[in-house]
Amino acid sequence: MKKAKSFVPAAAMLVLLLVGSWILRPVDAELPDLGISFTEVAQEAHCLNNHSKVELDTRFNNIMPWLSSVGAAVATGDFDGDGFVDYYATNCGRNSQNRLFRNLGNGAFEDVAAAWGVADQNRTGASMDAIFLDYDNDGDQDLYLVKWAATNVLFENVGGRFEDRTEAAGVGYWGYANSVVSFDYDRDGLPDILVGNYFAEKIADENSGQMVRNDLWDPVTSKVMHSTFTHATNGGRNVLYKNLGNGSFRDVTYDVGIGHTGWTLDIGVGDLNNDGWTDLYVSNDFGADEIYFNTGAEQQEPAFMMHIDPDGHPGAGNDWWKGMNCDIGDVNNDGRQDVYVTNILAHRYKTDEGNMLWLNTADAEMDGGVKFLNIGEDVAVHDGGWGWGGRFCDVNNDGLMDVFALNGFATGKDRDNTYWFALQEMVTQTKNNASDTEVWPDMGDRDLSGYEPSRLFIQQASDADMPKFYEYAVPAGITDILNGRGIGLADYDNDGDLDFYVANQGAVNCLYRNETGNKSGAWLGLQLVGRPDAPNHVGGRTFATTHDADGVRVEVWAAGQYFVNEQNEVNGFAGQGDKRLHFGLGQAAEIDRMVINWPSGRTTTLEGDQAPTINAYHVIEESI
Amino acid sequence: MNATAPAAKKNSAKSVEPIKFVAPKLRDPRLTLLLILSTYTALGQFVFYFNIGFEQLLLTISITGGLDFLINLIKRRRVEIPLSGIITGLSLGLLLESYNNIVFVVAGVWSIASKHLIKFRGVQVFNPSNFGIVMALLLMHGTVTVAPGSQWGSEIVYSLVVLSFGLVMSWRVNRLPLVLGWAGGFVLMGLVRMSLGQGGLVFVLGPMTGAEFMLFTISMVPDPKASPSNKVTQVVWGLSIALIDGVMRFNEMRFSMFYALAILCAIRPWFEAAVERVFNLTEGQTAFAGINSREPAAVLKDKAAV
Repeated sequence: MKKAKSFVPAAAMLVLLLVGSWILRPVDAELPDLGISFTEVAQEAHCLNNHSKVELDTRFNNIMPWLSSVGAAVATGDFDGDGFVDYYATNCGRNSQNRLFRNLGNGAFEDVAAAWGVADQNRTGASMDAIFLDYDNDGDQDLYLVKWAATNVLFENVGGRFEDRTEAAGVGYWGYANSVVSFDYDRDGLPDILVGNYFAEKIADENSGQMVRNDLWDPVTSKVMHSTFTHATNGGRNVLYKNLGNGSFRDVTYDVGIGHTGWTLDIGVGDLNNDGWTDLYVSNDFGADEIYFNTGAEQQEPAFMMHIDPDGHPGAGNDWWKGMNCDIGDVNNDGRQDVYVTNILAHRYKTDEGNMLWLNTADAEMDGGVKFLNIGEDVAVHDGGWGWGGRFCDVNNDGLMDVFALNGFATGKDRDNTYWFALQEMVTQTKNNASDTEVWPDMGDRDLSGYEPSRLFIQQASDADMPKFYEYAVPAGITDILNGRGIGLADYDNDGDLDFYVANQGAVNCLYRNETGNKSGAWLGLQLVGRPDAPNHVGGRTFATTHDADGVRVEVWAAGQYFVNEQNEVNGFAGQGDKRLHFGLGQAAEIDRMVINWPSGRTTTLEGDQAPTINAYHVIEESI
Repeated sequence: MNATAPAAKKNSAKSVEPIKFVAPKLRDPRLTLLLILSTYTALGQFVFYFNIGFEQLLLTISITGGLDFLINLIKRRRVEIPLSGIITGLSLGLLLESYNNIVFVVAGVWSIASKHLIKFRGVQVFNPSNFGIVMALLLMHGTVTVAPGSQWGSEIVYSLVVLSFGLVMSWRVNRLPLVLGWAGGFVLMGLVRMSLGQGGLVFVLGPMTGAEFMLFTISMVPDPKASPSNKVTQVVWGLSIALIDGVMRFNEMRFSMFYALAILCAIRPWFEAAVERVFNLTEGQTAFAGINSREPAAVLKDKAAV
């Protein structure tokens, strides 16, 4: 009896352990049939690009899979003006050719990169990201291509061909760009360009100690990596080019206060405090993300002021490890722009952060303007694996914003033979140890978060305060386990639902055609055209809208619901979406009212008979 | 032995003891450890902004401190500041990482419960934080990991300051040989791993400069209730942690030092007995002296003293 009694505490402990483990068991949510389906059609649509990875100097061979883990990007735009979006896809290998997939309008594409003069872009350095933009406001889509260790290139669309205008425009920054966005930060009607850079452009020569160009194909040192995994500031500086309107740009980075040297992977643009001026969310690797508020509402010459949250964090909140991607959109239809940031979550290896959905919870009227709350885990959009590109999108037109997120770092031969131990041993080192590539163990063909399926988080109507999501990628037919990077979010077949071009690292791309149709709701597509030639004078200041209507904000009222969307299609890591604004409208039978807030300060209100019809694309020009 | 003693004891057991209010003594080494961990936490929260939410820390400390307080009140009729519980909470809060806050609640409960429920002959077996962390790693389905510790900006100066205070504290609790044995053993095993081709000097020894190693070394290894008291045994104990840790690291097991300590604690009575025999130590110098005897350790200790 006494002996039996002595086992009681141990038994109690065992019960506690079992109960605790049971509480934390993984629970698979029961998936409803959402009726969403995609078909992968890249091959039959003739838009296959087998991405070639960058190959740096052999000195970095021990971690080459790490260093060559980015560069698969896609830009989306209608460069030939035929009403169907086209894709520009990058490659990185030496002398590899980039692709320009012209949409033929019949579901098929043809590669016209060579004919248009934008194929042969990897003789030096490597292409990393690109955007279509109309930098000269002439109504056609130009192209800006950013690279590693080579001059970024600005191409002007001259009809039938792109011409290199880099030198004249003064935008030939040499560095390590991983991200580029265009937006009109000063609302002068001229699209500006912001380049996000990763590695430092200059570095100390290990022999002479002199600061010299940091060329990873001809390295002067092996100490090229980040100084720490959480507070690194030895990356490249970002560069903001102000468009002067005469075909040239001026570097105003330091003038406007965004000269931080973090390891930027992506930059998101959007009006986060509803003051009519475009703000910035900078996603940094190896350190905190940053939010910069545009001071244009208070200052004649707009600049950017870093936002520090009430707890002292420089971004939206507590976030220190990885910012891989940023998209900005209104996830809960409350008129305030929310932020989706991808991150790294690897069960058993790294679990402190996952993808973050920063809900914008404050009123513009309140002091400070914004307050963000990370609801990623609460609403189940946090587990995105080793995340990369991610976009807000309403894939089933039900009026609720969904999230599509890519992932996967480096696929090894054997998914169980991982590099995680070595990586974590490097993470736990003191400052500057990890910056030397020679310290890192050989990565070989080991796996590091490879084999991950993409995530399609579908939002469902919820009575609670918070939105509710189901992960639905595989049931929807998005089944690849390639290492996705950039998303080309666009309705390429003009059928009213959003399709995905997925640029995969070191692998063929996917083109997921949305087969959902209008089963779940109505939709509205808007191509907005600004009038940069017609500036507007407001309170002693002069504003104008770019031809592409960058930063325009559209509010829609339909079936008792409110929707808001901004023109910020440049958002998302290594990707660009359709410039046409897309609204899912749920069960609406018509638009009750629509208000277009042009960056020029003008507004266009359309209601009653003037309101646009649903389930159609409309071209609306800024009315003077 | 007095024949009336059992009856008196029975009667006194029925009477309710008054609740005692106990203030911590300034010389209590737990206060030193608490000071070190609190300083580390404050620096992390307000200067370096480490990646642990304040709410998460408060939650963990509330659970461990609250449970410790309650158990002391119920079992020992004492109202006292739950120093041990708070230290456990701080250690867990600093070292564990998870996106799921329930992890911290459950690990806190497990840690404090282990202190009271897992005993061998009345002696606590595991360091509570270490037990909580190891069980969390093993039983929480991959939702929890240990913070690799670069979150303090990886400045070595802070690690060295913490290490210095930690060594002083280890000396005060008479566990300096143990800590030095562990650290020395880690260096030795690192050199062995390097010679076997696992990596360069920075790769194998660099983790010693990180916060994970520091926190483990100052807050778990020298726990006087869960480690040997004899100096020779301490050195062997420290070397043994390093040996197990080194073998695990060579086989690329993460969080190996936490596992190593837990394994040793689980076999501590037999370990100490073996060391006693090998080094001809006087019986009774260890908490588990006379492991093969059927008499309680306390009685054996009395005999040894006589």
